[in-house]
Order: sequence, then structure tokens, then C-alpha cells
Amino acid sequence: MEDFYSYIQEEDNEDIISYSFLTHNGSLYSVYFDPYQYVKYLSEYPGLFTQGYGFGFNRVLKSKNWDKDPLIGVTIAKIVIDFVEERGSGVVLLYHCDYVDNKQNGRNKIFNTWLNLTTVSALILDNRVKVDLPQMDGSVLHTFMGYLTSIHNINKDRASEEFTAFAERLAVSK
Amino acid sequence: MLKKIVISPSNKEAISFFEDIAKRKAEIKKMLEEKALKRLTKHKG
Repeated sequence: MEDFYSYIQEEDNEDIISYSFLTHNGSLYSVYFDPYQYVKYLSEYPGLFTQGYGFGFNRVLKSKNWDKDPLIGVTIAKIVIDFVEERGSGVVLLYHCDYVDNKQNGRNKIFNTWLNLTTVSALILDNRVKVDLPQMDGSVLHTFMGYLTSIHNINKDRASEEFTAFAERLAVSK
Repeated sequence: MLKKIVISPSNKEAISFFEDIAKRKAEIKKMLEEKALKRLTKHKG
């Protein structure tokens, strides 16, 4: 069995489910699933509304020494798979690439590396769109949004249709 | 297959959506950091 970091799971009074683990270098990572992150925007998409969770992960405490640690991705993959097994294969994990710190390109690379892990790619589908966002200074920010769902999700086609409709609606809204 | 959406500067609704999500994500990140620090302090005694 592939090694991973031990982790804990918590649920707070806002119903956010978080998992956290400490790396051998002393960095603390948190992976979260937020049932309300997108709920304001999904009332017309019943599948996403009932089964969608906002998904993200952060390095919440940084150690002084950082190295490329493959166990981080493996552990995040295990957490995602555990969450899906616990909540059911119908869950849809919606995500946005964080861009407020302008490090989205590096984050995107790490995310892609993690998604290509065998443990993830064998069990989880990824569907994303690129987003070009105008900035106040006239520049354009390149980011993306998407979702993950289990390959065993019997409603995965509906998830795809609803997500596409939602993204298209964003593009045509005023 | 939808590949990209390009948001125009006049698309207030879409811009507001992305800002809203970014704000929520930042709040969650802050909450998780505070929780982590509290836990670490508790265990250090």
C-alpha cells in the first residue's frame, strides 16, 4: 500500500469538513469541503445544488524548509477518495484556482500533478474550464474553475451538463 | 466541449461571483489557519 501522511478530520459549526496533516518538514496542510461555497449560485442546477461542495486545499502553516514532497499529493488524493466514499459517489467537488496571491500558475502545476496520480485518475473525473477575468488595472487574469466527481457517479453526465450550463450562464450574464 | 469563458469588464454579475468565491475561500483559509495554530499551541502546552 502506498504511504501517506496521517490526517485528522473535523467538522465545524458551519458544516465545513476539513482534514489536516503535518508533513515531515513541519508544514501543515488543510483540505476542506464546504457545502455552502456555491449554494447561492446553484439554485437552477439541482444536481450541483444538492451534491456540490466547494473544494480546496491550503498550506496553512509553512515550515522554513520546503521540498517537493510526493506524499503531500498522495495524502490529498487519499483524503478526497475517503470523502467521496463517505459521502457517496454522487458528490461533486467544485473548485476554483486561487488567484488573489498571483501564484495560480504554480498552484495549477501542483494540482495537475496531483490529479495525474494513479490513485486519483483511476477513480476521479476532472472537468474544468479556463476563465479569463478582467482586472481593475486593465490586465486579464488567467485562471480556471472546475469540478471533480467519482467515475462511479451515476449522474456524472448531468453534473457535466449543469456545470457547462452554469459556466455558459456566467459568460452571458451582465 | 466547453473549454474557456472570457468575462468582459462590463459583466458585473460574473465578476461579482468570482470575487464572492475568492472572499469565501480566503475566510475559510483564515479559519483553518487559526484552528491549526490553536491546536499546535494546545499540544505544546
